[in-house]
Amino acid sequence: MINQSTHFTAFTSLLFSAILLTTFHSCKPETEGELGEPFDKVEGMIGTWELQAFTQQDLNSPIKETRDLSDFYLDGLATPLQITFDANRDYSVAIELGKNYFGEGGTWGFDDDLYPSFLQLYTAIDTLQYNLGGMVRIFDQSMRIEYRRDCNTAPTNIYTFEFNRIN
Amino acid sequence: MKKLLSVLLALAPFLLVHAQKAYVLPSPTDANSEMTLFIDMNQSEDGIQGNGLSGILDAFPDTTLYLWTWDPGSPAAGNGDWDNSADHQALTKVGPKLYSMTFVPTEYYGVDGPTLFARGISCLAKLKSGAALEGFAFEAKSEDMHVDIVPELCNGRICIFPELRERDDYLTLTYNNEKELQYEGLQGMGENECYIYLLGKVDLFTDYEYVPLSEVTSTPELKLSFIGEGKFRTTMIPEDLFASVLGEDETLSEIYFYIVRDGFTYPPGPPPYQVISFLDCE
Repeated sequence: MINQSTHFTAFTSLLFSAILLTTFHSCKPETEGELGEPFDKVEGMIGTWELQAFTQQDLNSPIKETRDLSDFYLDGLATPLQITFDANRDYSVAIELGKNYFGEGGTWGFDDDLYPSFLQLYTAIDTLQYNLGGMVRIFDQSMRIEYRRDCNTAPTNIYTFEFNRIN
Repeated sequence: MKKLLSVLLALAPFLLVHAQKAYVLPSPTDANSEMTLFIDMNQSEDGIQGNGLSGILDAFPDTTLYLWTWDPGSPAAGNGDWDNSADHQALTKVGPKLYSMTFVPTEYYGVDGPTLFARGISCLAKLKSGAALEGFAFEAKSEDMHVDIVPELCNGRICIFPELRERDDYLTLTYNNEKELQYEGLQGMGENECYIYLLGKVDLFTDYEYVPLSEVTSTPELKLSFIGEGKFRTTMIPEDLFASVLGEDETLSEIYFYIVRDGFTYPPGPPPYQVISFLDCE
């Protein structure tokens, strides 16, 4: 008798919970609206960016070891490397210390403005291509440019330049 | 219960290592130091790949086994022939059906560290002849075995970063004075005493000193910075460093170098050069 009563109580609770869940689920509002336009990657790049770190990663090291070589660009005295990308697709480089991997300036672009894989810099004598550490939105304050080196298609090093937006 | 769990967790790596058919010690491994490859025939299972060595060992436990290996490459001195393994490939019996061989992997295989770590070691054990033994169904060999080699970060006297580089890459050379065994006069170097002599090679017949030996210790860019624990380090872009030294159409192919300490002279004989090589890329 006690057992029957217990079973009955359990069954009632289960039934009640199921009804309650169904009721609440029915009340859930339908998702409306659209995802919106993807952010403008070109607009995100526009501004002046100042170097804050520089690293070298050895792709042939067993643990892909990374070394911080920021000291070659940042000594606390010289103005750090600055790159300015403008809306007219011109870019300029200001460098007082360290090796210049970005040319003297010229025009800039992406391989695909909507879905970019590479940042491309067109100087008077060369076309330079870099990977971006991530897409940059207009409100992002940091940006990473990766200079990936290979030898006869075998990857060797990645130089990563980390910039902060200064205007 | 917690204590038991902690003990089991602490022992896990060792238990895992020893449950494998083949493993190496020490692990992580320095590619340029001695390591021991173990083959545990207790873990071997006959018949997987036409292999019958385990059964043969049960019948003849004291028979000599030989290592046959093909990755990261064939041994520099060769495996011998399948029906007649080379004598230097004989394994040492270190326990019941447990065998080993000790070697320096980069020397034994004649490969560099990155190749060793990328490919690991593939091998099998066999009798001198791998052919089927009379009275046994399968060949006198084990199944194929593979060991991934976990790399140890460079821990030698000289470490070069990155492993592969072009002449216009940043190159970092680290010298560990605590590993200086050969030259007593270099041991116990003070923080401001470590320099490097550089000789830029263009080709077989053309080379340039960055500065003559007598000027090395008065050339600031040839000084290595002390980074602690007996280590000294310098970073350079070789092509840029030698730009003022090389001729107009000349390209740096290698750098020969040795460590210099003010007041120390190497014993008579050829300079103790070590070599930094560069990739030739299209």
